[in-house]
Parts: sequence; C-alpha cells; structure tokens
Amino acid sequence: MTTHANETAGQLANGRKGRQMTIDCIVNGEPQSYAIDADELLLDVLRREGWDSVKKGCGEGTCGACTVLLDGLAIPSCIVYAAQAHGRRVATVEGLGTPTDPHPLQEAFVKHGAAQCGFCIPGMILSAKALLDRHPSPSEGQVKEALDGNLCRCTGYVKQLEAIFWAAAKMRGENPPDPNHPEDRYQTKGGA
Amino acid sequence: MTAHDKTLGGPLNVVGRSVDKVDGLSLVTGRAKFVADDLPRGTLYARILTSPYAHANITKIDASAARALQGVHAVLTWEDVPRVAHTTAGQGYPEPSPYDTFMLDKKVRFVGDRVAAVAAETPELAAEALKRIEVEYEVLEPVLDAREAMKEGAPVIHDEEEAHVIIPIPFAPEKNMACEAHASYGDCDAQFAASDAVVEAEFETQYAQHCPIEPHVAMAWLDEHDRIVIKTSTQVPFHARRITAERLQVPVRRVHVIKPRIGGGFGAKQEVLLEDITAALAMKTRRPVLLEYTRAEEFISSRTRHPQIIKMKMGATKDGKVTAADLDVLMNTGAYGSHALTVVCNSGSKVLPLYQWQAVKFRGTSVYTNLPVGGAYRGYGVTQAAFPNEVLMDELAEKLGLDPLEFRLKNHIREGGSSPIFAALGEGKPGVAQTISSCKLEECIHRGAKAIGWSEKRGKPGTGTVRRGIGMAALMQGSSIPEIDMGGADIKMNEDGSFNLLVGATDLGTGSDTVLAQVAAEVLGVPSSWIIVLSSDTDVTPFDVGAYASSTTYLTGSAVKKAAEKVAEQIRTVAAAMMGAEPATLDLVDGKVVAPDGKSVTHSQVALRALYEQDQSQIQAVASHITHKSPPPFSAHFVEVAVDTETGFVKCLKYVAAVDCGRALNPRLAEGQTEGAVLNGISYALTEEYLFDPNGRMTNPNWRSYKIFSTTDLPELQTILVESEEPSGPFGAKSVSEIGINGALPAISNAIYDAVGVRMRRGPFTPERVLAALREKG
Amino acid sequence: MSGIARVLFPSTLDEALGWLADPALKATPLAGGITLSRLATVKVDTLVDVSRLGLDTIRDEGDVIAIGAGVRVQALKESHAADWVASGILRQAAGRIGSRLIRNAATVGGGLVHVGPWADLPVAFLVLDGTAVLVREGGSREVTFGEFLEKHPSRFLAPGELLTELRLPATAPGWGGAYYKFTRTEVDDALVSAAALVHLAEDGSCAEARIAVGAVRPLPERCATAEAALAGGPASAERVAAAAAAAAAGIKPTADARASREYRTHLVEVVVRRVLTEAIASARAEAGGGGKA
Repeated sequence: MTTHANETAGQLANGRKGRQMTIDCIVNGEPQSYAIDADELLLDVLRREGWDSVKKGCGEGTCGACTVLLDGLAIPSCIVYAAQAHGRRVATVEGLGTPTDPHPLQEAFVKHGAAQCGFCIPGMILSAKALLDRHPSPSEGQVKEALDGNLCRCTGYVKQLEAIFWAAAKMRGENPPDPNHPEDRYQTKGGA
Repeated sequence: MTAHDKTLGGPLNVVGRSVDKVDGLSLVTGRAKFVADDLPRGTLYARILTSPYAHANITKIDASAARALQGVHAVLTWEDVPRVAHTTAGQGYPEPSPYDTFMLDKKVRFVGDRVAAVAAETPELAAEALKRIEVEYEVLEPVLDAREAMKEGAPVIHDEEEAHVIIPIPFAPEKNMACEAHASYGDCDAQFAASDAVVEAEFETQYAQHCPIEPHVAMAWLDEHDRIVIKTSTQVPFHARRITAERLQVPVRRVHVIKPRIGGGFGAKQEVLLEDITAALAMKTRRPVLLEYTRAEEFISSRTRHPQIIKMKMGATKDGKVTAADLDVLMNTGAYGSHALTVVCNSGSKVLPLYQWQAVKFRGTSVYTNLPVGGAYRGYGVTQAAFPNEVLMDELAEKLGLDPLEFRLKNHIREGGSSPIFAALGEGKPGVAQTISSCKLEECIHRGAKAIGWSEKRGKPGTGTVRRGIGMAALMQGSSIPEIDMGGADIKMNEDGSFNLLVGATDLGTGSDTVLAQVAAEVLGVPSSWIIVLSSDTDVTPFDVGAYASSTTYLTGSAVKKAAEKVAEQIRTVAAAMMGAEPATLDLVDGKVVAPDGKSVTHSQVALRALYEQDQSQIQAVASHITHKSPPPFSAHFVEVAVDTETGFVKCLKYVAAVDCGRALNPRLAEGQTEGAVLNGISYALTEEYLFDPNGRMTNPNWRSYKIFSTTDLPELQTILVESEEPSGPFGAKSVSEIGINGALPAISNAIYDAVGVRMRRGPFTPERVLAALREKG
Repeated sequence: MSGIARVLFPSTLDEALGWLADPALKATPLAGGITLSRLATVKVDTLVDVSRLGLDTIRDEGDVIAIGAGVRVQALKESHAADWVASGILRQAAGRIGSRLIRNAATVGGGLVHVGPWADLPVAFLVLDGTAVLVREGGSREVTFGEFLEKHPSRFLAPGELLTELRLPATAPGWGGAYYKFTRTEVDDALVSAAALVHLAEDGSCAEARIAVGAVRPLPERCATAEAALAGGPASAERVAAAAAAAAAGIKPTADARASREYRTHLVEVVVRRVLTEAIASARAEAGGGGKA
C-alpha cells in the first residue's frame, strides 16, 4: 500500500466515523446490521457492538477466549474477518441463557465449579454447545477434541469435562445427579 | 452450642460444602464485567513503545511526529513523567524489593523495557504513533547469563544513583546483586562427614510465564472531583493505590482503585505494572484511557517465573535419617528486582523445613541481568527449589537402598515439630518461629501411593521403545506472611436478612469471594447466597493486602469470621430485646435467631427493627486480622509417565495430588485450585520455557510456540483432599492455592529416572533434552 | 494496517473469477480467512469471499474422490469418503492440524495455497496421485500435487487463478498410506512430520514407495533416496530402517527455536521409519480387504 502517510493517519483517526461497508447477520437470533471496515476482525466488531462475553486472550487464534459460533461452527473470531459473518448466524454466550435462566451447560459449569476466573468460559461453553448440538452423547475423546482450542489456565479441565457430560445428560432429557452435596439444605431453600 | 461458639468439631451448615460460586452464573452467562468490557464513551487506547535492545541508553527521543498525528492525544517519554524509584512488586510497605524501577527512564535494561507511551483514538492509531517516535540508543553490552552477572568487569545494569532499598537488606547494584540471604543452623561439615551417603548436584529452572488468559489490562479516568479512578486487573488493589500514588506523586486520597473481575493472575497481577502509565495518560488527556497488553507483551514485558541455578547437597545415615542440607541458589531476577529477595528466601524457608535436618546451610543470591523481569508467580521459590530437594531425596534413598516413600516418611516434619529455618528466614527480616499444629503429610503419602499404584508399578519400566515410570515428591508451602500481612472485612446487614460483605481481598478466579461468603454465612446462620460480596474497591472496602502468599482463606477468612462474629453479637442484642431473652443463649440458624425455648425471630425482623423501629442503628462491623504463624499445607504428588526412548518424548499418563490444606471450606473449589496448579506444573515441567536469541530477545512470545497444556494433553488427574484441622485457621483451614504447582518438576524427573534411568536436572524435560540425556547415558 | 478496502460476495464462481481477474480490483480470494487476517500487511485492495460457491463438498465419484478447496479441515477429518484415499491419510493429516477452532475455520485449499514449513496437509498431498484443479476466467487446468507444491503455490498460481478442487484416485489394492506428526503437545506445529504411500506387490515386496517430510525445510519435500532404498525389495523392518536412515542422511533440516538441526535430523529417521511401518501395515490390510477399485 502506497498511501501517503498523512492520509493513513487521517483514515486511522476517522476510523470510527465512515465505515467502508455494512454486514447483515443474525446475532443470537436477532437480525443485526453492522457498519464495519473491510479488514476488521469479527472479535473487534462484536465487542464494539456490545457482545462483551467474546474475550480477547491472544489475538492469534491460539487460546479460544474469542470463540463464537458461526453458522453453528466454533471458530476463533480474532482471526476471522467480520465480513465473513455477512449473511450468517453468529452465536455468543449472551444468547445462550441468563443468570436467572441458564442453559444446561451454564448450569453445569456452575454446579461443577468449572468456572474459576471465567475469562475462557464463554468460549469453552460455545465449543461444548457446538459439540453437543451434533453429538448428544459424546465420548471423552470427542469432548477433549472439541475443546482443544480453548485454553484455560485456572483449572485442570477436569471440572469442565465433568460439567459437559452432566449437561449432555440433562439436554438428553435425563436427570443427572446433583453434583452438590445433597445434604446442603440451602441449595433449595431460596431467599427470605 | 450456639452459633458464635462454632469452632472445630461443631456442626457446620455452609463451611465444608461445595456450594456454587457466588459469581458463577455471571461468569458462565458472559455478564461478568472485566476491565476491558463496557468501555466508557470517549475511551482512548494506549500502547507502550518498548526497547529493542537488552541494554542501552536513550540518547535522544523525539516524539514530535507522533504527537502531530491527528487523533493522538498524548505521548509520554521519560522527560514527561516524575522520576520516582519504586518497585513494581505489589508487596506491603516497606517492600523488601529494591526500588530500582522508573515509570519511564532514559535507560533501557531488557528487550521489552518501556521507552514511551501513547494514547490515541484507536488502537491502530496508537500503534502508528509508536512507529513515529524517533529514538536514538547508545547500545551497551548486556548481561545475558546469571553466572556472568557478578563477575568482575560485568556491565552494571543499575548504575543510576536513585536505586536503593528501603529496609536494611543486602543490595549491591554495582555488582549486579539485587539481594542476598543467608541462614544456617548446626554444623553441616560435621554432619556430612558423619553421613553414610551424600549426594550433590546442580539444577536449573527456566523462565516461564503465568499465562493468565486475560493479559494485564488497566483503565483510568478522572472523576468529577478530578480524582484518578483506576479500574485494573490486579490482585493487590490497595498496594496498587499506594504504589501508583507514589509514582504519580499525588496523595493516596486522590487515587481510587477498582478491581472488577480478573481473568486469572497467578501472581502476575501482584505486580503493579500498568496502573501508573495508564493514569498518567488519563491525567494528561483528561479522557478515559485503556491500556491492554498484547499476548506478546504479556510474555516479554510483564513478569515471569525467576529462573534459578541451584546447587544442593544432602546427606543421610544408613539407618535412613537425614543429616544435613546445603542449598545454594543463584537467582536471575532479570532487569529489575521485583520479589528478588522474597522468592529466593522462599526457596529456603518453604523447602528446608520439610525434612528434619540436623544442620542446614542456605545461601540465596539474586542477580540482575538484561533479561525479562521475574516476579511473583504461584508457588514462587518453592517451584524452583523443591526440584533439587525432591530429586536428591530420591537419589539419597537409592544410595541407601531405601524406598523413597519410607525415606521421606522417616524424616518429614510432623505435628508438634518445628524447624529453626522458620525463625531464621523471613521476608526481609527474620522469620517467625512456629510449631506445626496440623500435618497429614504421612496420610497424603500413603493415599497418593495407593492411588498411583506405587508398589505394583514402580521399578517396572517394561521393555520396548516406550518405558513407563513412577515418581513422587513431597511438598510444603505456607499460609500468609506472619506478622506482616493484614486482611480486613466489613459486614453490614440489610432489611431482608442478607448481608453485604466488603473485602479488600481479591478473587482472581480462585473462588475466594465464595469461600469468604461461606465463612460469613456460617457464623451468621444464613445460606451463602445471602451474602453479597464486593471485592474490591479502595473507596469502599477495608484494607487488605490482597491475593498472594496463599493467604486469602487463612488470613482474610479469619477477618471475615471476626467481623461476622461481631455482627452476630449485634443481631443477638437486638433479637434478645425483641424476645426478652439473654443474648448469649441465642442461636443464629436458617436465617433466624432462635432462643433455647424454640421461640425465634427472623434475621429480616431483626434488621427491620434495627433500621426503622427502635434504637435505630446499622448492624455492621469491621474486623481485621494478622497471623502469628504461617501453617504449611502439605502435599504428596505422584505421577506415572511414559518415555519414548527413540524421541525422548515424555507423556504424563496419570497424576495424583494428595493435599492437606487444613479443612477444605469448599471442597470442590479446593480441588479446582489443586487441579489447575497441578496442570500448570506439569506443563511447566514438560514444555514451558522462554527461548532467547543471542541478543536477549525472546523468540517464542506466543502460544503457538510457547506451549501450555490443552484438554488433549490432560493426563488422568486425581485430587485427594486429606483434611486436617488447623487450630489457627478459620474453621480449621490452611491454604491450597500455591502448593499444587510445585510437585511436577521433581515428581516427573523422578518418574523419568524410574522409566529410563536418567536424572533430569534442568527443566523443561523436552524430548530433545531427554533424548540427549539418554544418549549421554548410552 | 492492511489496505483492504472492500469484501465482495460473488453469487457464482464465474462472478468470483471475473473479480479475481480484474486488475483494477487487486483482489485475492477469501476462504477461511485465518491466514490472511494474521498477515501484518496484505497487499490487496479486495477480498472475494469464495466460501459460498459450493466449493465445500467432498464427492465420491467412484474411482475419484473430489475434495472441494473450500472444505473445512474438520470436515475432511470427519469424512468417510476420504477414507478411500491412501488409507485415510488425508483424514489423519487433517486431524493433526491446529486446534478444533482452527480446523473449523481453515479450509483444505487455504492449507495448500498458504503452505508453510509447519504445514500438514501438503506433506500428505505430496505422496498422492491426483490433481489440483485451478480455474480462472475463461479456462482451467489440472496439475499434479508435485507440480503445485514444488515452489510456493502463491508463485505457481497465475493471476486471477483459483484452486477449486483436489481430485484423488481411490486407493487400489496393495496401496497403503499414513501420516505421522511429531509434536511437543497435542496442539502444536510439527517438529517433524512425514507422509508415506507404499505399494506392495503380490509377493509382499515393496513395489513403490513415496515418502515426504514436513517441518524440516521451508516447504515439504519428497525423499527420493529413501524411496529408492525401500522400493524393489522386501518390505522388511531392516529395509524400512535403511530407508529411514537414507531420509535422514538426505535432508539438511533448518534449525529453529524449537529444535536443533541435529535433533530434527534424528527425528526424520524415527518419524520416517514409523510412518513407513504404518503405511506398510495399511497396505497389507488393503491387500487383504481389497481397495475400493
């Protein structure tokens, strides 16, 4: 690129104003129209648009904190152009459940203590969801393979694997045992 | 028994149970807010220009072209900021780390050192501005090897006159010595002479990084009173406030530090790294400023595990009794002396007391080099020195023809025992003598051995290309820093019988918010979900030293317990007036205050009365706590490996960590701490290391080249909680967060020896190194 | 900062080829995007999204397996049709690429065009018969994988030319293939990788052997001396070892931060021996069960 330096600077400074193009996509079930620059990364656009659960851990496609589902496939949004989402469905963990109405995977991650700092967890839950959507009864090898791009430094992955099997059972309509101590009477009593 | 009498052995409702994390749902639904989330309007993006040279003077720096760029709002060089010598170590005042660092300096001391900082409208523009800062360097000869650092004629890294220490500890920057520590007891020479077997070797541990998935990140702005608000991913909000105020030369009252959710820390965020420059940029621009390290910057410019070169010698008599240990640690602290003293002291103080030596000699020296800066990292000092300690114990056992387990069982410290080292080695001052009041190491060893199949599998490598081996290591750590660190808690009651628990302790993912809520809930007779935890905000919460030194559960947990007990007394007083009962007879349980006759009032009724109806007052209490001892958790680690003799590849098949952490206040979270620490330890032992080019530049600052373990590398991990009851801890608790990371290096080395007969004394045990060792053995 | 000014979404292959050929657009194809997006500078103005043109299918055409260039690496890993190619060698190689997230995002074509020293699939393609289909406005050509990968494909491709398909003959009886990758952790670039395809004659001797190694030189390479050492004689462990030694002797690995030259040379011998052993076992299995044809 041979653009004069000052032009480059002008473009950079104006970066937030005139975007080069618009993409239309479905984010967490809702149609969205985002003004983007042609070379912007999907991670940056999603965060700018308020999807803060999509985290930046490395910017190099090596950690999976930025995982989103693109047409159901778990991909690293930090090394994919935002334009590639045009006409496609994007899912982030915000679309999966809420603190009062969590998805079975989210419930499972809490019950198993699978979230420590939680920074990698949105991505990990999305990778798990993509797996369970295709394989409702995965093997341990399949679960490990589905998550091998989602690095976690707090845990030893053990609790996440347990949580995913628990969630899979629940999503199959089974009634997996409560991993919490059953005698913990405060679990079911609720508020004042 | 009434609730306020709850002590060891009493019936517990909340403590000891694996209740859900209080922040769990917000984390798994992506609602939890980290520093870089929900950015304020008008946020500027900061970047730091770093040095391409390991050692150089900045002879000229011209930022005019960068400043002229449209959209660049500030460029700071050393000419623009106060020159205040400080340490980035987030330790209590007065810090036992040398004051040898400056916000920006005219000298650079490692590749990645700060040169200038910019704030601009976009990250791209900030990056462009960096390119337009013209810097002229006078390149100096660097020191790139710790062994060379103190040699005569070595280039002096800290030749500035301001570098100093603020407590009387040995410090000789003219010799590149950041600090030195000694401790000894008994007559080592005589003991070695009287030994039937003596072993001696040199070990080396490597640079590594914590790799929190969220890199260092800080956000700063000026509030409506022109106070400086810093939202930062820190383990030490109060130290960050104090240290940042000092660096900016403003009073502490002008600084407000907020800790939101933290994406992992492991000690890296015990360093006060980004707050000063982010705040300086916010003050200069009067705009919110975000400074976020890239992954490469996190590797190169943040903090690391200090590498050590360790010479150790130990002896024993043929009846299997250890005699003497001589431990000599040469530590590379990199370009700055953050934690330079405390890490090297821990190498002695949390390793040598494990066995009952008749005599001990310890020397620790930290030297400056022009390499990345060491800092706090989970397990520090012990991760390094447990390696020689536990490998040499195996060697000694072999020489004496003893089973390594029996040998350790014969010699390890027990309840009622002590070590002169506790009193001899402290943190910049003498340590604190202590007697061990809880120790279930023996049970850890027995149960771990059973779980790994020690007696069936050890010494049976098999034949063929891939050989199997079993190894183990015994460990101890500490729980907080006695007579130095203080934790605080503030609890206030709300109308519905819930409580706000305000703590300066920081949950960096460890689950401490949950554990502290459990402690409060236990005392106050409510479920943990009724405790609303806020950690941490320096304007709101009481002081706490923060999350480090395995202290939050043991130290802050005790502060929470004390505060809760005070609140419980106030509740009883109000309830007693309501019921016409004696306060001391009342029990707090199930959200009610219950009298011996069965009459009760609810917590909510008590709160409503106190707030609105009669003798109105806020039921609230603050408490703080210091400790007079640092009771060690103990652990035994066992590992089974497979060694490919053609490639040198070591595969970790199964790993068992049996840990005595006192009472596990939340067993599942204690397991999680152990699993995480263990996997980090395994990954460190097998793959993690910094690689450098000849000029001291790190060549693998990314996760494509610096490998940390993922799900597919995971061995079978088993955690066994061997609970003891520590009388000095809250509900019997000690600590669990650090100890688990220290076993893999020695245990895997010992397992490799069992499999193929080579002693690995330098980490990590990469295929290339293992193969070289196999070939050397022939 | 990149100079990318626009991303275009063609609705037909012809439209895409037209845009790629238009010098005014300075265009390059965009498939998975994960390589382009990581380049410090991209010297194009236009990205042409070729991911929606039906190039993402694996077709079993009887004696040929046709793999669209836009097939995701994970889909190739999971493809049963790809089992018919050299004992599933491409599935093995695809399965060792990056992490699941990368395998989901990366395409087979992208992996060939952006071949790097660490590449997996190109090593396997080097030992396979078959062709790469290259199309451009107004024409197309088929080239062998050896031709395609001899120099860097970015230099081999003509301006405006697009890789659309890989056409591979189904394995005949007596042929067996394997891919072996040596790494430090499971998700890692190869320290050394190797692919082998062997043909066993009816008497069990090795009629033909093809061996390629990756991660030792800037591009994957065939090992002619090793192939010669094995072909035309018994497929014995001794001769496999001799071929492996020949492979190590015949290559001069580049050293990098992750492994010394000496260690890489040693690994070449081990990895080639192991991949040949696996390929021979596969060939014996194929001979027993018969190939597809």
